[in-house]
Amino acid sequence: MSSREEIEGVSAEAWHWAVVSAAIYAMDPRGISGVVVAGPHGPARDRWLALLARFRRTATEPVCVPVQITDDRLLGGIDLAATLSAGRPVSASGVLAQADGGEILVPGAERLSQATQAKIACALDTKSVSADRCRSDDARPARFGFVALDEAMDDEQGLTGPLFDRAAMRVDLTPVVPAHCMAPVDNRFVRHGAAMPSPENVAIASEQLNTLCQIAQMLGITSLRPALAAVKVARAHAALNSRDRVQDDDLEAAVRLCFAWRATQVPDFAPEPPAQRDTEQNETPEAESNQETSASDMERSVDAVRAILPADLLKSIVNQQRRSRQRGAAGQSGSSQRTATRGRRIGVRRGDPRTGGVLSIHDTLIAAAPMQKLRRGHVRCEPGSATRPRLQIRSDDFRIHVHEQRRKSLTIFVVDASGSTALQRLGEAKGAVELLLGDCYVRRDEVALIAFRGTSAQVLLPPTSALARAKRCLAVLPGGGGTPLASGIAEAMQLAESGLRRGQTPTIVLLTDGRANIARDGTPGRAEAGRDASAEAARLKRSGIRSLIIDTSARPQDRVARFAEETGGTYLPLPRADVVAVKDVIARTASS
Amino acid sequence: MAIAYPFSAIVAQEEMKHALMIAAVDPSIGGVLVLGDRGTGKSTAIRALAALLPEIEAREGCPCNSAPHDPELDGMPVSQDRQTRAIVRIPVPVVDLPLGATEDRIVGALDLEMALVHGQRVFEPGLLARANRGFLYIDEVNLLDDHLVDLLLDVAASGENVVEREGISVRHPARFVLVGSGNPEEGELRPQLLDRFGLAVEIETPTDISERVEIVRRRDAFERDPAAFAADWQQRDTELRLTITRAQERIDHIQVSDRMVELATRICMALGTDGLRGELTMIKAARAYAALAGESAVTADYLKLVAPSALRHRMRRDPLDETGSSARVERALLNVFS
Repeated sequence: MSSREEIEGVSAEAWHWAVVSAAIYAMDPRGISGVVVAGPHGPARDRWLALLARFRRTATEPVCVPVQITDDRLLGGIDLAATLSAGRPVSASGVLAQADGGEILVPGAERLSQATQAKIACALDTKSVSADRCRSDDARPARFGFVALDEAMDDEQGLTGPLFDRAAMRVDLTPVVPAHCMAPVDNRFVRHGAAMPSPENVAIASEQLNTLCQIAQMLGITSLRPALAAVKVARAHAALNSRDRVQDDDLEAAVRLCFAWRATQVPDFAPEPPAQRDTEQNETPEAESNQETSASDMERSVDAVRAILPADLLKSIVNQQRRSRQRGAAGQSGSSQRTATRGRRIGVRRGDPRTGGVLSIHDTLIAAAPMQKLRRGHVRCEPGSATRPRLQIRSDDFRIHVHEQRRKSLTIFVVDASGSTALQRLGEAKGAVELLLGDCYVRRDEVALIAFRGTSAQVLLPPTSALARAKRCLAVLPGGGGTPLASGIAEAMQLAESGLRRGQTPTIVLLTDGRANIARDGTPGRAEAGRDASAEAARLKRSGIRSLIIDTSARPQDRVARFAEETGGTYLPLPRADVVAVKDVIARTASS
Repeated sequence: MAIAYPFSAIVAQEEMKHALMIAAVDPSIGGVLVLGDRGTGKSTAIRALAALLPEIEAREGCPCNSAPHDPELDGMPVSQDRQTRAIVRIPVPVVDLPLGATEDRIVGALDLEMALVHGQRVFEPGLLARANRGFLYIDEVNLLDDHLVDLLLDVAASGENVVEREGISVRHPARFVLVGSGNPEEGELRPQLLDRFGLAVEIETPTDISERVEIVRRRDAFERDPAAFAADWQQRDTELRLTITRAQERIDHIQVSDRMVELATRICMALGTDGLRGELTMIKAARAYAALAGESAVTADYLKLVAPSALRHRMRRDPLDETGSSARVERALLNVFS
């Protein structure tokens, strides 16, 4: 599609800004707080990290925070081996405290759990970290900046959450081709120390602050942290260019680095809001000229915004919206549940392994360790055994793992392929399902496909996450015959219930025109079929399984709406040729 | 510890500031829940409150900041020799509950050092003891384990922490104001827990451009030179502190007429809130508000002012009603007062 020059241009541009952001971050990691580096593992990222190391003012290496880090490693805790050998509690400082005065590096940040993020964010905010299990008043200083490596692929969900919000800049290395990133960097970035004014001392004018806030608002950025970050980045950019006051291109750089990737709306480039014109008229000429300069400033910055928000703005907005939808608690990817034995380990708690938990030997030993001296006093020696048990563990010491299992979603599509559903509508319905399948793939959800036509319903595809197969099944689905609606629902319920038993969260998406004419037992007859369908609908409602009824009639029918009410589901007429809207509604239903 | 951002320098967010001040004046209100978007200054406000509040008298070195004369505490093992200790003035404790805190850390546990080195069984008070007579702040309360939130709310309601563990049997006072903050987009609190917070405030990012600019400007000034910034605002913080101290003294003398109680009941009935907590909180909050404003009696205006914070989290959720809970409270108020 795009020519070679275009690719190279985009790559050079992206790399240039990546280098600038590395230089800005390296000037003051703690002040800037953090950078998100998006892009896969590869030469560009290695080079970026190497450059950052060169730009860095101090020789300290960043401390690595692995995604699966436990709390006692992150925040600090008891060092078991040292404690047992020393006979007194020896606490080990966590990585956040170790990083004090330096930086942390988080690879695979998109997989970092919200809880871990919150803990890092808390340390960023309070500039200190207090270890668990130690004496309560030993908050240690933890002033650090972070580099989060976001390795999410195209459609995967990238880093979101508290840490994401605290990142000042985002660097996208995906478009960078290796040839560019190997080029030597501009000398001014490497120059250290005295020649460069300290960013703290760079002046920023009031109107410039105003401009930045205004642009943030135009781009629909509600959080105020990015605006604050932009001020710092603008200052640092000015310092980088040996200036002692912020100029337009510093603002432009700040907008590019701090705002562009957070934009949630396309800015409205109307020259001036009318309200502002009104106030201007009442002001003194001097104020007016001020206004004007700031307005032209604003326009210039807006031009900058326009220039740097190319085609991928829309894409990033869509991503952003998907992100915020996914952030919504339950639903989307299945609600998470705490279980005793399955899922990711997220910590330990006091408990009895006999009631079904998994014993954490390490934590049990830690709990028992301090008690050994006490217990040694009153141990009963078994008659005949000369030795006392080395280690005495009581039930109070037992620590079991707490697991969190992500409930998987199961989306069951029930497609009415009867003759009454016009062939063209069937095509549209297939289109909608296909789009949704793509979404399910991103979330690693399972889907199942049921079609009903003729005299019965048929499971075309049992629950699977092999989406390609689902797509093929869908494509070859023929139409024609009667409408055994009741059988379709019954079949879907069966799948949904077995999904529930496996710990999945099922959603039934039924595409039909509601013209039931085949009863449960396969005999034709409108009245009987209608009664059966209603009975199944009521059963579906009682089960509490989420459902979405999509009306595939030529025109939206009351009949289908009433039927949707009977099932307790959401009703949605299929808007002609607007598959994307259908997909949207399905996604919303699944997440509500 | 780093210098806290001055409370009086927080731009806008009046409802949150008032709710926190009300809780400071009348700690029995039952905690404050602050819900809102990221980057709206939730944490800033609560951490700023610590610096703002007037100092309290306590026995030196007492692990639970006990008041000099508290017969309830005498003879309690947590603070055995307390009567012989000097009386000192300490800042109101504001304890940050880290998200990773374990149950042991919160309720207190065996003192590891005493057990290991001396073989003695000594109770080491936890965060609940430290928060006594002050505030316990949980950021991202919606991400905290449910069983811990339960535990915290239980202790907050009873005002006492009871620890029964191997060889340890301790109880100590733990009267604190629970302040939770969180972003509802990231996980909801169970309604049972919601109801137990006294006041709930929803905050939004200001959309007014000049307000936003002011926030960024102040925050930037603060981060460049915290000490100088704090000094600039000290005068206003002192004034606020005085207001709170006076209100604390006056609160017991604020009149609440029967008519006001009836009005509160009518508002709650109009909204269909369950239980009596709504009315009770509304009246207490209105009384504290009136005290802060220097009034001598609660008027309908004060009820109106506190109704949204006192009630918005106690309403049954109606899945068909798209309007937010705040709007529903407003609507009910209009109906009752018309």
